[in-house]
Amino acid sequence: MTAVLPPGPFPPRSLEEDGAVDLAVRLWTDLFQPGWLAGEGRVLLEHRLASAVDAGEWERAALLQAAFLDSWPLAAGVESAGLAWRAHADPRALVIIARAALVVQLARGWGSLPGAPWCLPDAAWVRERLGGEPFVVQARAHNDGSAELAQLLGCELRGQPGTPDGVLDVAAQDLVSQRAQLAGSLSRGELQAVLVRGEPTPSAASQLALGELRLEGSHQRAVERFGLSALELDPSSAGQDWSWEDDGLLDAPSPGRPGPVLVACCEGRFIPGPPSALRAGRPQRVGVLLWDAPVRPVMVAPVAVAVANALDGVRDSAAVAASLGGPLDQVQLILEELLALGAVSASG
Amino acid sequence: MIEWRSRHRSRSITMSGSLTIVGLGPARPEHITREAFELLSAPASRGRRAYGLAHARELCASIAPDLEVRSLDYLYQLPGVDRPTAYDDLAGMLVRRAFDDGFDVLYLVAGSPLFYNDAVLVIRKRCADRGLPLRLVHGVSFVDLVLDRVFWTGHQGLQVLSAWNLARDGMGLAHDVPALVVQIGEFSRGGEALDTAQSVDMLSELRDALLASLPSEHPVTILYSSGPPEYRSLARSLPLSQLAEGEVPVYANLWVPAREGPNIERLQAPESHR
Repeated sequence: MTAVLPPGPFPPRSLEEDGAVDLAVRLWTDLFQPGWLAGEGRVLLEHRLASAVDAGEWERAALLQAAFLDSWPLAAGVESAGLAWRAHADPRALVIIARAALVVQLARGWGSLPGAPWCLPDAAWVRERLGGEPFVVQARAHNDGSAELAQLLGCELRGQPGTPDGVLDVAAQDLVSQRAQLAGSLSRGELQAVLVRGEPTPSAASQLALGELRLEGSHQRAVERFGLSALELDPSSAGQDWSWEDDGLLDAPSPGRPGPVLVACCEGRFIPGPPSALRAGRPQRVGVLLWDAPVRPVMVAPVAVAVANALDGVRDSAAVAASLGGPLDQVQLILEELLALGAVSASG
Repeated sequence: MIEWRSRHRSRSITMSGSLTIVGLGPARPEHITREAFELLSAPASRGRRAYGLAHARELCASIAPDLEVRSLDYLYQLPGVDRPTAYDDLAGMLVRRAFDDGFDVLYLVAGSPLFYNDAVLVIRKRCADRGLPLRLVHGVSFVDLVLDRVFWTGHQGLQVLSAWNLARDGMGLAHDVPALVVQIGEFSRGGEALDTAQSVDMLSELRDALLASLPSEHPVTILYSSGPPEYRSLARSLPLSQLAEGEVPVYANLWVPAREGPNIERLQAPESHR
C-alpha cells in the first residue's frame, strides 16, 4: 500500500521519502519550475484566457491575464525563491511562491488548501502520480489538505494531526468571548497565531477581536495569508506585509545601453487590456513588455511593442522606422523610452 | 512549596504592568519633550510594548528606530466600526495589555494627549474608574504651533471649538472673545480629514454659521502647516465671506478675532524663524 502524503505543508522543505508519494514535493518538482511555468502553464493560461474572453467572463479574464503575464517573472524567479525559502525562510520568497501557486491553480483549474493559498490538485493529476498502485492518504499536519484529498480520491485517510505548538484552533463564533484570553496569550508569545475555524461574523465585535489577534500575534497575519508554513518565518519578518505588487519584491530592469543598432531585451506582446478595461468588458489592444527575468511586466502603447519587435540587431533606427512606415523622430523617441525601461539595448 | 510563575511573568516580580500615554508633539522630532525622548530611547525590554497610529509611528521612528510600534491604524479602517467604538476598543485593549497581561505599555500619540484626543480620554476614564495608575507624558500641542501666526493677547480669553461644533452642532461663539476653530478641514463627525476636496462643504457651513453674527468683512485667518519635513506654520488671512472659496489643507484651523477685540488680534503675525 503506497502512502500518499498530502499537498501541504507547502512549500516542501525536504525530499520525498522512499515508499511514499509526497504530493507537496511532486507539485514543486513538476509545476513550480521555470520550464512548466514558461511552457505548459503559460499555454494553459492562454487557452483559458481566450475562453474567458469568448464567454464574456471579464473578471475571470482579467485574473487569468494577470496570471499569464506573471508567468514570465515567476518562471524566472521561482527557483531562487524556492532556494531562499528553504535556506532561510525568506518572507519575500513565500510571497513569490504563493503567487506561483495561484498561477498554477488558474492554469490547471484547481482549488486551494483549507486556510492557505497552496494548490489542491485534482484527482486525475494525483492518480497519474500513483501509477495504479493501491494507496492510502497519510495526514502529516493540520490543514494539510489530506482530508480533502482522501475525499477527492475516495480512499482511506490515516492520521489526524492537531495544531502545532504555538497555534490554537478556535471556532469563529467563539472569537469574541475568548478574545481577551487569546490576545493575552499571543502578546506573551505563548501563541504565535490563532486559526479561526469558519467565517467570523461581520459584526463590529468580531472584527475588532480579529484585529487584536492580528495586532498581537507574531505570526497571525502571515498564517492567515500563507497557512501554517508561515510559522517558519522569523518573528521579525513574519509581520512584514510583503505583497506581490510591492516594488521591492521583483527586480527593476537596468536601463539599456544606447547605440546605433539596438536589440530587444524582452518579449513584446499584444494583449486585450488594460486590466481595468478588460474587467469592464471593454478591452482594447495594448502592448506589454515581458522579460525572461524576475521583472514585472510593463504595459505600453502597441506602437512601442511594434518598434521593439522590429529591432533585429542589424538595422539602425532609420531602417526600423522605414520598415514600420513611421516617422523617424517618433521612432527615436520610442526607442529612448524603451532604453530607459531596459526593454532594448545596444546590439553586440 | 513554591509556585513558580509562568515564563512570561518571570521578567518582573510584580504582577502588574504599566500604561503610559506619550505625547510626541505636533510634528517635528525637535518638538518631542526630553521626558518622552528618554522614555522612547530607553533600552528595549521584553515587557515593553508600544502602540500608535501612523503619524506617531513615523515620528517615533525618527528618534527611536529600534522601538517596535504596533500599528493601530486598522481600528480606523474596519467597516461598520465607528470612531467611538474604535476608541473604546483601543482603550480596553491597552488597559488589558498593561494591567491584565503585565506589559509596560506605551501608547504614542501625536501632539498633546490632552487636546482633542478621544481615545486618550476613554483610557483616562477607564483607568480612573478602575483605580489604575496611568502616566501621562505631555507633548507640545498643535495649539502652540498654530498660535504663532497670530497675535493672541489673552486679555479677553480664548474659545476653542471645532468646526463641527459651530457648523453642525448648533453651538455659537461669544463674539467678544477670540476663537480658535479647529479641524476645519474635517467633513465627518468621525474626524476624517484626508480628502481636502470635501473641506469646502464644511467651510461653507462654517462661514454661514459665523456670518449669522459677524459681518462679512470680518477678518479671519486660516492656520495650517507646510507639512513634512519642516512643518512650518503658515497662515492666510481673508474676509469671512471668502472662507469657502477654496480647499484647506488637512488639519487646518481658523482664527476668528473678537468682534470688538484688540486690534493686534486681527493681524497676521509674520512667519517665525527657526
